[in-house]
Amino acid sequence: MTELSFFAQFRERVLQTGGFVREIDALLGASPDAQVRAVPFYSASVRAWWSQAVTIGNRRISPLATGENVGLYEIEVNYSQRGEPKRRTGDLLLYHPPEYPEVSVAVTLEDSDFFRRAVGPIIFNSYPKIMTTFISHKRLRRVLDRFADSRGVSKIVIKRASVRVRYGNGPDGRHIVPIVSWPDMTLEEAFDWVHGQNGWFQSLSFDIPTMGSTTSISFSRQGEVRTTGVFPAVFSHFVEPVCKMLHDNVNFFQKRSRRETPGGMARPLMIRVEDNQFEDVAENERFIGAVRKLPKSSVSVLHGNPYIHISVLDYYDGSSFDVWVVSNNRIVVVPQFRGSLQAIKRLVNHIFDTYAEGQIEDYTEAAG
Amino acid sequence: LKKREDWKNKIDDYVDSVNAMVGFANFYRYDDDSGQMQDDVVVLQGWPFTVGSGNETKKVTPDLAIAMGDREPVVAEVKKSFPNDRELWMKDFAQLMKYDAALDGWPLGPSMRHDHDIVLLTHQSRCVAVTDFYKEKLEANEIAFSRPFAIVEFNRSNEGQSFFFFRRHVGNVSDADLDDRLHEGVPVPMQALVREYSMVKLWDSEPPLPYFLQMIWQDVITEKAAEKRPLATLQKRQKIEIEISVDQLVTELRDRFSFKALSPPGLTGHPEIPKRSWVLRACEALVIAEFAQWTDSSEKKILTVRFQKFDDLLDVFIEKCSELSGSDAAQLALFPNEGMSDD
Repeated sequence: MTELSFFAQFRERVLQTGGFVREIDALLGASPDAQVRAVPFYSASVRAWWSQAVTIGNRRISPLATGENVGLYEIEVNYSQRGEPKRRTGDLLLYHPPEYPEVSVAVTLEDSDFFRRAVGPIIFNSYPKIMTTFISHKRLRRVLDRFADSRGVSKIVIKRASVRVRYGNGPDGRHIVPIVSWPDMTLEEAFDWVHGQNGWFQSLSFDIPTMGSTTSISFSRQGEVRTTGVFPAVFSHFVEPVCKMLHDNVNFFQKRSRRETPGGMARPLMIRVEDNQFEDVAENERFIGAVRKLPKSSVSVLHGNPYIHISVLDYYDGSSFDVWVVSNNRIVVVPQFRGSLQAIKRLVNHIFDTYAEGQIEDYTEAAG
Repeated sequence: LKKREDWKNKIDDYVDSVNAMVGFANFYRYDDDSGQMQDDVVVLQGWPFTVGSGNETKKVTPDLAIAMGDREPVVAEVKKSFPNDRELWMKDFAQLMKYDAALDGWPLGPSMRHDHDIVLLTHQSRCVAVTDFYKEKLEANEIAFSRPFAIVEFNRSNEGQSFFFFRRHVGNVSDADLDDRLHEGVPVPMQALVREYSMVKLWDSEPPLPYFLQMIWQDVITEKAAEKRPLATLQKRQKIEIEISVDQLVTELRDRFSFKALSPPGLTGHPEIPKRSWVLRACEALVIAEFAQWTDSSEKKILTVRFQKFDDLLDVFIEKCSELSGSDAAQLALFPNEGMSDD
């Protein structure tokens, strides 16, 4: 069977049944060098947007066929390498989980080079039309632990980790230092180390034994997962939880702009950080410095000491927020008349990345 | 540098005054037992009342009026600072004494069965001196109130969390429970009111120009610009022109940031806050600073703004206003009353 007809049959079966997970698993089993990447993302408009060929920068997306919950697309990318113009094409499958109507999953069997040049930039650089998730340090650990339990793996050993460390405590906030390492540490050791460094995992890779061979898996803070096997297990333990996370995020962050609430009432949210985080007033400057680093924004400080009141304007869509710190362990974000879910999420992610992670909750008046 | 600091202090004073009013009103809005805001409490700011009858009527607009279905309503004047010359303080008490009359115009109409209390809210730093002044003038029969009157201090404090602290220095309010609490002093955690602080930013006193410009640029002009084209790809020095009317700015700012936000949705007759004259002055500042030009230079109803992105809007406008306040022409056009209050 030629490769062309093989993929043609694959497409046909996927479109007919929507059961691409098993089909992909079969492909991975048949091709030792194959790998699959999946990236769940939020988009209210991707189906309509990609219903016809679209060009994003030097990439062109052309619909090939669509089924009830899946769509197949061809991606073409033009680039230059050592001065020579290059062109590559590859396939992308979009899966739309029926239970999460605003969530899609980009799935591709193409190689890493194609993903880096074509698929990745489309997904990660199309904000705010496409928004990926953000997995906190604690949740990332939970996802990995559950996967290990499900596979009966007593220890996951991290083979490669991309870590970001919030470095420095100067008045201009913290710098984010990227580190790539090959630690050969257990999950527990690696997470403890990163926590101790006041950092987070951007991505991590590990191997698990499968049927006499080894499957390599990597997982990122944005929910991108890559595997060389056991796709059904990877799908149910990584992709599906991230889809649910996106869905929960959408429900939590949406409809918070004052334009959408009765009587223009504000719907704030809170980030609960560690107790006494803001006990030292010097922490105020660090927090303000971190928020000031939000790209494509205006950050105005109305008050910085002893309490914090910052006014943030997001230039992506004109969303604006009041950010308050009036107690030792809470950051309150108050969306103004325009406060899109993408902009709220971007601001919260930025605070988590550059300052500290916390627990996101609905605002309650009670102090403490 | 001093001008920048002056602007920052003025902004701080302005925001504190709004927050003090919101905090004080909350004593009446919030029901401790249910933990809910009470529906029958209406908070009005700059609401016009009529006093007197026949040909002898006058309009008065207390800073704060709190209407309640079955309790004594309250009118309050907020005065964060008093001038050094004590003789000028009498003017403020004269203003308060104007409220010591039957006030016609409460929105709840006939359901208002009780007469109102009168409260002066002032900053802790001046409260003792103002209270002494009041007592002297009371003794000399130069000040007299027939209705319950109280002087209540406010200040910000920080003990693990930030508070607005209120304490009654002299007089009484009719609500006996609240009166007792105010006698001891009540810390109101800012955490409990950040929603309201974020919704109510304007009151019946002209805001410091840089703060007002930041509000206009951030929350109205940017939204219009974002409707015209995606702003993320707009380069730092690139400008796009958008047209906006003075009336639209007034309406948008009133709907977003006035005390109207704390009123029941159906309530009509709100005062024009911000005043059109303030918005006009802000537009004039944008023109003088070359951020905008009048589309109709004779009528000054429509403004063409040359929108551009700034990293710190407030800082840009503080800087610009500091420059402008040194210029004689701008001084006349933009800063006619540095004291800000229209009353």
